Amino acid sequence: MKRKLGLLFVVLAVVLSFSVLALAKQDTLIVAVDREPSSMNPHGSNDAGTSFVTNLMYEGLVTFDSDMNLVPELATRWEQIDDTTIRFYLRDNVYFHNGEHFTAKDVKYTFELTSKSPFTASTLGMIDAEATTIIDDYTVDIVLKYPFGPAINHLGHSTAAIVNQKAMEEGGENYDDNPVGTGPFVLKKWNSGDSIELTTSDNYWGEKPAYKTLVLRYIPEATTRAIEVETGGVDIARAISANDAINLGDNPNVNVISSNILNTSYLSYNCSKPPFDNVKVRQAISSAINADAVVRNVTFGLGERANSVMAPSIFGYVPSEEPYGYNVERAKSLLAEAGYADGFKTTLVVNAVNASTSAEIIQNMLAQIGIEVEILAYDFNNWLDTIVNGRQDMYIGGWTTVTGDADYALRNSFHTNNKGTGGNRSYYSNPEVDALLEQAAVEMNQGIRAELYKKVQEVLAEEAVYVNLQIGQVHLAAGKHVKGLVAHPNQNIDLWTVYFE
Amino acid sequence: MFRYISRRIIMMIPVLLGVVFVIFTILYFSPGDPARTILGVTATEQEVQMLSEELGLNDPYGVQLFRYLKDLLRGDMGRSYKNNKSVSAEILQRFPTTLLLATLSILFAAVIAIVAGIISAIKQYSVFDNIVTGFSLLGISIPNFWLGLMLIILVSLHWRLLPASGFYGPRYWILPLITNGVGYMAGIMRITRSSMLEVIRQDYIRTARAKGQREIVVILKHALRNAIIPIITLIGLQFGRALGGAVLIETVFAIPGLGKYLVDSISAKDIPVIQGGVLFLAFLFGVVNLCVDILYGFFDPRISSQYRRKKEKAVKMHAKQAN
Repeated sequence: MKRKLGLLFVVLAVVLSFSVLALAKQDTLIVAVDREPSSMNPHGSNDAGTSFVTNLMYEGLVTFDSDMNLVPELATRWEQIDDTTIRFYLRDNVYFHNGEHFTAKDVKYTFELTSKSPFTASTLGMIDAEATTIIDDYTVDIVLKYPFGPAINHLGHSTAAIVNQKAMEEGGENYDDNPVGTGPFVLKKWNSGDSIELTTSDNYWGEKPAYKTLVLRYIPEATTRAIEVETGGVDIARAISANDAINLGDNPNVNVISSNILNTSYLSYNCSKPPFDNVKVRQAISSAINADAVVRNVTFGLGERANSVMAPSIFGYVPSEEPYGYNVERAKSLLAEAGYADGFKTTLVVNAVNASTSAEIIQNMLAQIGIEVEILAYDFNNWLDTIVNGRQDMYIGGWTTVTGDADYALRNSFHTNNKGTGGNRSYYSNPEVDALLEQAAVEMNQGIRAELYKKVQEVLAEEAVYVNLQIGQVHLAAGKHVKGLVAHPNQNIDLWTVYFE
Repeated sequence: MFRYISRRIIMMIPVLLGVVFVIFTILYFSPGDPARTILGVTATEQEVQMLSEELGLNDPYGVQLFRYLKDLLRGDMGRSYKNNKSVSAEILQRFPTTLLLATLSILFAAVIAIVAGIISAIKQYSVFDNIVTGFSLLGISIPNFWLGLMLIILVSLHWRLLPASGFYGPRYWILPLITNGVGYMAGIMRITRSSMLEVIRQDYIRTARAKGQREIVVILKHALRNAIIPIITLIGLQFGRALGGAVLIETVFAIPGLGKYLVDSISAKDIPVIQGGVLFLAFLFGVVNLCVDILYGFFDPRISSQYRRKKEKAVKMHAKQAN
């Protein structure tokens, strides 16, 4: 017995001394992430998993701060020369990870590449790469194919990150093994399916991170990510579930940061198809749905209900007055006015992964006014294929406005030309809205643009084109020792500002 | 024997070609556009067209199938639509992890289950037998992702004994192999028990005992050897399945194995990965089945003597013809 106790003591001592050593000098930050990148090239993919990683290695001319304001990054300032030319003045003290000096040439080269990438056509397609002119090493005129109001916003998106010609050409097909940017971190190794190891860049022009190594561990299960923060296996966990966010809130060793992102979800229709081409039917459905209750239920009370089809941090956002808020009596009379006093049968297409619960609640609410809804819960592929091709009656969808500007949200989702494949899955068509959106896209005065978008949102609300559900939300969990953690609405985290205490 | 093995391997080629053809056809005609799935909800028509062109998705069915087969014959499984990584490299990189997890789990399960199953059979209706039967019922019924999470919460979170996720060394292997092993264990226990029960009632067991053989020899040599065929069959099937990766285990414990990779590729409609994965699994299953068949001969002399007799016959025939 004594010997056993002695052994136990020795084991405990060894374990403790290891943990003390580990605590004494933390120079590694471990982050649990929920998805893997598809590429190490910022123009090689447009998904959130990729931009999370490329954001750590690359920089753009401009970027967004955590309130979605545009701030300088590789450019120190910029000016609008005319409707289609923006002049950027670049930093002269920036070096790529491979030692190459960053100049205007890299900017032109980058936009020549993006003009050929399928992942950047919608964000950077307006740039005329050939006409873009290098004035001197640190001045470049970016030329647009047509006047475009939100151009600078689009340049803040992660796919507009600047790459180096030499590195791209040397890397070729194996570029992902050795990606080169100007940002604070350099890729050390990508262990596919498991982790990504990064180290701090010696060439970084900004303030260097407080630690040396950054490990992004891919942990697909949300509960495991949350538990790993509690056990100290990781320092930060991205995207934990609402349920775990509530549980971890009680743990004194863990901080939970919940923040709204640039995404909203909504219920909408195929507005070109009866009965949903009838505005009264849409207004009736809007009135019959207690959206606050739906949101409260599916987000465990943590979520916020959207009051526009855009999230609040997006330029041009105006909260709608809700002309058709929850009111069952009005819903019934509107439906009768539309000629469906006895209701009707219809279907609701949802992505099974994220909207099944909302759909069931909505199904019950609509049953109260006689609308019998059959839920079609599909996988992502099938759901997208259905709504892109207009085979839906009703659907629950979502939109992430990656550029932080109303043009990307509203023109894609509601302009007649973008029906179906372009992004207008509500198959909505209204010449007045089209005209307003076109005018706002080419307008340079941001004040006037904001007014135009306000008008668009009012029309859409009056026409009850959609029922707003929740604003997208991401919950981060971090150990108490992690400081300086700032979550961005675009779901990136500036991990280089993190330090330990 | 050698001719038997090589014939079995050659037989696999048409099976694999059939697999390629069927999978490709099903995927091609199933709804959903890979380019649009990769680009996401906010993609424009122009982007979808550009990416489809880049991936060769605009070509007709026959052209795409022919191109795939042609590359495959050169040993090239293509590149993932989603992350442009070589499919064969990715499979080979992940396979050792899956193989390790499968081997450890099956070994763990088989050793415990066979011992427990034997004891349970010779002490039928004893307390031990009831515990074993109860455990195997529980083991089959418990969903393994739930068991995994519970083990993580208990062992990693409350007791702080083992790491909760990852697959970086022996300390990390323990929880996944227990979680994965319990389901297998239950099945092997049941089949060992029933197979042993059948055998120990046979006359030759009584004869062995009557001639004064020690009990342990009776059980292990006379009984187990005759009861082992169904056990090996089950373990072989389980191992074949385990080599396909344990999706739920890999997800819960964040293990970079084959299962999660393949399942993700299906939801992303990443056709080269699905193709490559299914082809690889079909091949593995064939190999495992072959190994099981060879093991039969090893454990049961009656089966191997069949081959020998056939061979002798063939030699005689040959000799006759030569004459």
